[in-house]
Amino acid sequence: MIPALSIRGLAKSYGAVNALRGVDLEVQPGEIHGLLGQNGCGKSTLVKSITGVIAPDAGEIAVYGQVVVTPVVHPHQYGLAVVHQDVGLADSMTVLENLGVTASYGTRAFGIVNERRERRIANDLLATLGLTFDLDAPVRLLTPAQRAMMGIVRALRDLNAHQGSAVLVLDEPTAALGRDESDQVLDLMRKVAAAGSAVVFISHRLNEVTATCDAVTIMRDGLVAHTGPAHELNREQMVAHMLGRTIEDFFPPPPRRPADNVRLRVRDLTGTTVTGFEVDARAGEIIGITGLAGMGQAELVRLLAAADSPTRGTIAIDGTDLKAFTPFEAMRRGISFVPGNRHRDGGWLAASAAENVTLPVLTRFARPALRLRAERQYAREKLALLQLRPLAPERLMSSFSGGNQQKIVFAKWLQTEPTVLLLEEPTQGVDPGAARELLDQVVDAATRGATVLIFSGDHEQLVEICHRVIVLSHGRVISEIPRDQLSEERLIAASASDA
Amino acid sequence: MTATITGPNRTDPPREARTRKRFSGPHVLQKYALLGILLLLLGTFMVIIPAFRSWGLITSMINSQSIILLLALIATIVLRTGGFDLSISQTMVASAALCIVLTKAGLPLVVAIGCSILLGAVVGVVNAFLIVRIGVDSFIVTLGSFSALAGAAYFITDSSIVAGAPVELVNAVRSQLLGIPLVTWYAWALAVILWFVYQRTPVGRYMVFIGGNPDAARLAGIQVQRVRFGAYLVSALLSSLMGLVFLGYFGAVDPGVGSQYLLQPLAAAFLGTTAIVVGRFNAVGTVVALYLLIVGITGLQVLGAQTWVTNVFYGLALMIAVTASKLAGRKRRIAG
Repeated sequence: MIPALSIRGLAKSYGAVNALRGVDLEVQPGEIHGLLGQNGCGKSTLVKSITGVIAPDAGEIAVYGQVVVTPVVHPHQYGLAVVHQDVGLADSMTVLENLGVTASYGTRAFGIVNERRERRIANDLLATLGLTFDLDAPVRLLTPAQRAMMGIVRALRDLNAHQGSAVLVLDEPTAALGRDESDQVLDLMRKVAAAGSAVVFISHRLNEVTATCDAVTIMRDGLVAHTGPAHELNREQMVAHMLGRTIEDFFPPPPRRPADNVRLRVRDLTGTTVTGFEVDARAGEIIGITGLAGMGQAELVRLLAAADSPTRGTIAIDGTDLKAFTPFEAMRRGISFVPGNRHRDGGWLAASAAENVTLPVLTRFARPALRLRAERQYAREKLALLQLRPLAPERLMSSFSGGNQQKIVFAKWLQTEPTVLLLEEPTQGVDPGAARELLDQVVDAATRGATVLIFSGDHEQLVEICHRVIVLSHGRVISEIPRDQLSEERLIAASASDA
Repeated sequence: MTATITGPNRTDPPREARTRKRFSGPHVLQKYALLGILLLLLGTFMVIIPAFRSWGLITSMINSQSIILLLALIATIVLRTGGFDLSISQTMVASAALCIVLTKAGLPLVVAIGCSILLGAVVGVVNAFLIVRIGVDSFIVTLGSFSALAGAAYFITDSSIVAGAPVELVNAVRSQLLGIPLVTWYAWALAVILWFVYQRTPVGRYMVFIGGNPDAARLAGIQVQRVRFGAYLVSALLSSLMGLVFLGYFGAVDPGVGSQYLLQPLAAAFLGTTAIVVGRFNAVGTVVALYLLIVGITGLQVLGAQTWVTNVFYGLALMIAVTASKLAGRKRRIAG
């Protein structure tokens, strides 16, 4: 059988860094092939080589036996498409308009869009995939899962001529999704593969990989560490291949009993969706906040970080109310916020990793002139703690892979002794080894007396490290589950109970 | 959940240490490319044009550009925070007009200077209020104040050229120190001060983060609105001080001259982002950029080009500078 995608000896180096050192990858038609590896192992470079973003130094890429000329100029011609985690949709435009845009709406004469034809193509495509989308709805109304699916559908639209013989590379399509939402995307993936196309599934969520993939290839340090059928490996073995060592546990040991004093007291906090949120959180307590997507979690975390102003309500730390709803005041009171949208809120990509890390504490280095060496040294220590790869703090943040960018954002907030630590999807896109490192830091912060609130759709993570989990629905608290009753099933049931 | 060991041992990062050195390579080249071009151009002209070998020409070339250099340095303040201040040159002219008219009306120089600075404060507060508090686009607001101040300059001077600047101001600008007029020293002093603020103080870092990603800057606890407000205010205040320098330099005020000082400082500031601290508005880069432009123009003029070559040169420089910084940014993104 001719493989759908065949890569031989792919190599690429940046200066002295060998990102890829001769990688082979073979994906069969109709197969879902998991591509795993820790952040900075060369996955991104591999994907960029396939799509022509970079030119590989050596190696051969073939799609259904046809050799692809590198650097790749039009991957679509070969039936190759990549869907990134950030799908890149125009929010104010409709589903129909977004679906056709990358294919230039198939226009020929005078660049006129034939809307009837567009609609027919879109309907046919959605019907074969068993999806129901309102074609005229603006994209901003879609759920996160629907947005992720839009990316896949749009890629298939681009590959119209290659129906059933396409190669689809999905770069962490589920990283930002909750469990129920990723299931929808995984289902769609299975349908695409069942129709004959090959799917390369890049993910750090090993349970999803085990549940969907036929085969896996695991990369480490620019080489293939393992390749073979997915069912031959359990989760622990996958991680061992990824890291080249074992990790004892994916999660830190259960947190200690929190102190008795209330650190964070929230009363009647109300915004547009969030209504009357209240909590008494003790020092050292780790609280999870979850729910179905779009139930007010995103707003709540911003209200608590004082990034947005509530219509009413109070936030008190150690018995004293926050005087103003500004991030400046929040920071002054020791609230640290690791935002979920790292490109918009987490940092400035055109600044160095070090500059991003030290930004909130810059005045520490001013005497009165900035002591640049001390600043760099400090950033380096923090980033080394979180295993930034490569450990080059002076490189621009944009030059790091997604998971490593997340470590930079994280490092930015771990340097202060926070009273309240707000984390929004803290380990998104981070490999299990580094995720463990991040979570260790979180538990450490709690042990030192911080109140931690984790906003996440990753139920397993919440079950492992939280003292209790609050479930939101339509902006209200619908249930609160104490640690001794926590389980993933319980959280799924609670999230869905009032949807 | 214990896993078994498989595969080779963990490779460790001595190679990461090496990346550091490697990365400084192309970086250094980019930093000093513009300076290199400046020296190369100067050297070439010195070889082919005998007049270029005279100290007199070099100093007069530098001195003739000191007003523009000062304006370019002031322009970087707001540009660094991600906005535009187009009203700088007209604030200067209106302030100069106010000062000379008041002194000619018999008011003491100190009072006249106070009024000029007050004018700058008003312009700064109005600009900052509309842009920062209300959220109007800075390009539009300062284009508006540019036009309003141009009109005001005509009103103040009764639409005529006013000569007879106070001799104190003339002395404070045109006196020489080590054979170089004070105005040039002022420009260099401002360059040093801004370099220090931009590279060595938290505020300078805050400014560039605000210009790059205001949302992230705000969440990092930076008082974004306050820094932006301050930038427009300082920009206008320095512009009104520039009015006094302008007055001392020329000894007279032509109310219609402001628009001639609009483009050149901006061109130098933008071209400056391609040097020294690449990708950011910075003081030393701006100095290098401006001197590169003036050496190029002077050389061409000595070789027989007409005066209009200045406009062409600056216009093209602005376009090339912005294009170059775009391309540099793109290359860097891909290099990830």
